[in-house]
Amino acid sequence: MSEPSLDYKVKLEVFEGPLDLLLYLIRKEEIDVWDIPISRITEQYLQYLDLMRDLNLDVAGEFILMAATLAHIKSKELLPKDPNAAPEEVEEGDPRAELVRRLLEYQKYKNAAEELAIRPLLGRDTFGKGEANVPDSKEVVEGEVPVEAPPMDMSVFALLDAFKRVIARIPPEKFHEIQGDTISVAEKASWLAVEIQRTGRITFQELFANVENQRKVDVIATFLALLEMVRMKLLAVKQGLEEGIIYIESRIPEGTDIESVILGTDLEKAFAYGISGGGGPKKEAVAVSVSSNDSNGGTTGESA
Amino acid sequence: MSSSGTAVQENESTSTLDRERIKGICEAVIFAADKPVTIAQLRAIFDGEEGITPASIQEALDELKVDLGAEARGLALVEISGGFAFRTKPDHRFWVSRLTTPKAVRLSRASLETLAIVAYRQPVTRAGVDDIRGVDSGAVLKGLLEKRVVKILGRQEGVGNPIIYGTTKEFLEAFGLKDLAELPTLKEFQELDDASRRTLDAHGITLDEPPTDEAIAASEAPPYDDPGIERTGQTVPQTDDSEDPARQQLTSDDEASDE
Repeated sequence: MSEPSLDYKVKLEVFEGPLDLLLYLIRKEEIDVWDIPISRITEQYLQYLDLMRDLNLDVAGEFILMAATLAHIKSKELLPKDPNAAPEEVEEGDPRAELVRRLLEYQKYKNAAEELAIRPLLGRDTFGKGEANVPDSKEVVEGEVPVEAPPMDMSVFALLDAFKRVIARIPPEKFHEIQGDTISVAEKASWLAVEIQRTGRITFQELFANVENQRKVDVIATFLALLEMVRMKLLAVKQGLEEGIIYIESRIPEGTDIESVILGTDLEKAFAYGISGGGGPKKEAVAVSVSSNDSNGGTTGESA
Repeated sequence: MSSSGTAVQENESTSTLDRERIKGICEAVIFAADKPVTIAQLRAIFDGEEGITPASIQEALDELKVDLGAEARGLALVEISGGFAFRTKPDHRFWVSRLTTPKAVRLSRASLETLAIVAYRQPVTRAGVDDIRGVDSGAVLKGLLEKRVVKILGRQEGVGNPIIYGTTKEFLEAFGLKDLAELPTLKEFQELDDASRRTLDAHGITLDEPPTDEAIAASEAPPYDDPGIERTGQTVPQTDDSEDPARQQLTSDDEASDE
């Protein structure tokens, strides 16, 4: 209660859900999906859940529900088999079967989504007649117009893993340094925006190079700012070819007044850039009420 | 039809347009059209000309495709949502986009997943999508509706009359698909499709056979035109795939219209 509070929650399920986490764990641990060690996977799953809570991430009900499902399967497995049970009852089956079915089913559509993603997309890779708007001025669009990778080109859970290692480097005494103020994720976000606009690209490792001298809550706020800006498509995160290197790149359109974006005052305009054709609502990228709360003074600071 | 001398006059009435002419005419028509042109439409253009069949038109189009395949050509003839259209080759993406600002539908991972589920499982309810993804997909679906790649097909009979969703013609166009059958094969997809079809039958649902292009074309209604949603300004910031208000709005909208 007495720790400085974060003003703000990030919803992880926007990136990935509980099934993604399980698939991630299965891949990471090189587990056979047909023979999932439920105890081990449950334990790991719960560790991530704890970490998410630690980070003040808004852990969706679905994550909790999955934890309960895992626990339930585990308890079923632990029940001693009744030696006198009729064969049909024994045949009732593997308690993991339903989970496996769901995972495989989900994986199938994830693959399908990836296949869609690599198709040439109208208005990005290929154009029909009238599709490319000739600008009124004679100028062409400046610079490169790269084909954009998705803003999160790696599992969000891999990013959490990386961040777990960052947190571990913070000396214990920094954990509870109290200054009583509210830590603004928006502030960190605008700092991050400036930093990345200056350099174009930094690595995750550089971003968190100096955590030894920072309060834990500040480090977490920076991480949340990163997540949120990825969600707003202002930043892109991708795994480098080198082991463990994560790149953070700017996706902030030229000339964007980043302050106004971050402070949530001018979201619509800021995201008018390339979101969707036809002037429809700029839904996709207008991600967040980033700090509509903290910027209007309604800070959620705990009164100790 | 113009100017290759007097013979043309004769040709136009008795129809002995040669293959090269047919090819050129098809090219011209497809270029001038504001949407993909079907073989049937091309055939209608040649009405009165003897010996021009859908097969000969197809042949001309195939030749045109081959011609355009040459590296020096910038366009490709593609089949999209049942018709033929020219598209710039993806190889030239960089140069073409210097002329413009990208206005492609931008889809997050969550949106793509949801879109894939709708595409393969349509007609599908939001609960059907949620079940597969393991998370609430209401807000994502709403985003897809607004981007017009997904539309409401109707309501499923039964408890709660949930809304059922399907993909739009715009979806096919955005991803350069001739029809839904051209979607990459999904393992077991056929079974699932049959299963959802049986469910539909069991519930006596009537809808325009959504996975056909005719049905898609037939539905004139904009994919989503519920006035209650969005843009009314009273809602909290527009959100990506996430924000609760949006989700609740969709939910409450569902419920409201259930009554």
